[in-house]
Amino acid sequence: MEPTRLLYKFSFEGGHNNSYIFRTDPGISYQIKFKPSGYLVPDEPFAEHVFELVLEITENPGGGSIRYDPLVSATVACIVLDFYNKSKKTITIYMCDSSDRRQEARRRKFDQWFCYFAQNDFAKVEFYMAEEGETVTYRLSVMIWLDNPDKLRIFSAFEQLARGVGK
Amino acid sequence: METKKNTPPLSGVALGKWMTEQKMAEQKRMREEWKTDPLLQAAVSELDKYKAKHGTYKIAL
Repeated sequence: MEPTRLLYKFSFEGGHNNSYIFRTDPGISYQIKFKPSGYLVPDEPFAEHVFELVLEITENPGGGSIRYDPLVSATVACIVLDFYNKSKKTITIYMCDSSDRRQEARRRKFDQWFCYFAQNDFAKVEFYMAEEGETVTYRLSVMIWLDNPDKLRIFSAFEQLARGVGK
Repeated sequence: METKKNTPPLSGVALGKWMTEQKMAEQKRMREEWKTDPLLQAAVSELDKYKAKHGTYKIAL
């Protein structure tokens, strides 16, 4: 018998930015978008498969801080899996910086999902962008299906992008 | 393929900063859309109805 997991029901709203929504038991609403982002690597054959994941809490009726809810990670995980099931060639990127605690919390959600139940099916590489003397670090996460035949070329292209090589 | 009205910096830290700013602007747009878009409101209303009827969703993985 297959294991079952609890998660929040979500809805794919589609549109240009491939929008998903869900609402938690305390009434907190989330929206996740997969924005077409091939403009970052326009000369690569896989450009059309590049999407930036953007996650936002769109409604928080109680205001204030939000308590940890493990079902949120599980739901985000299922949403990402649902999107990859539309195309196994999908390349998801996620950008965050170290200057904003809210962004850091979202990054943790992304990592929790990956550690939770994606690491057997996906490959993720992170590129850090920082300048000497600057306090802010930018982190670009690139995630692909583990069996993607172009994975070396994909990671190489994003490494060049992050490091400014060949530009 | 997606094109941007604002041309992004080519690479490195400048690109990281630009993408972060674009993302934060998008998140602000998402919060505003949520309040005003009737389609989103209708969709979340359907989710609420589902939850009232079936409770928390279960999935086999």
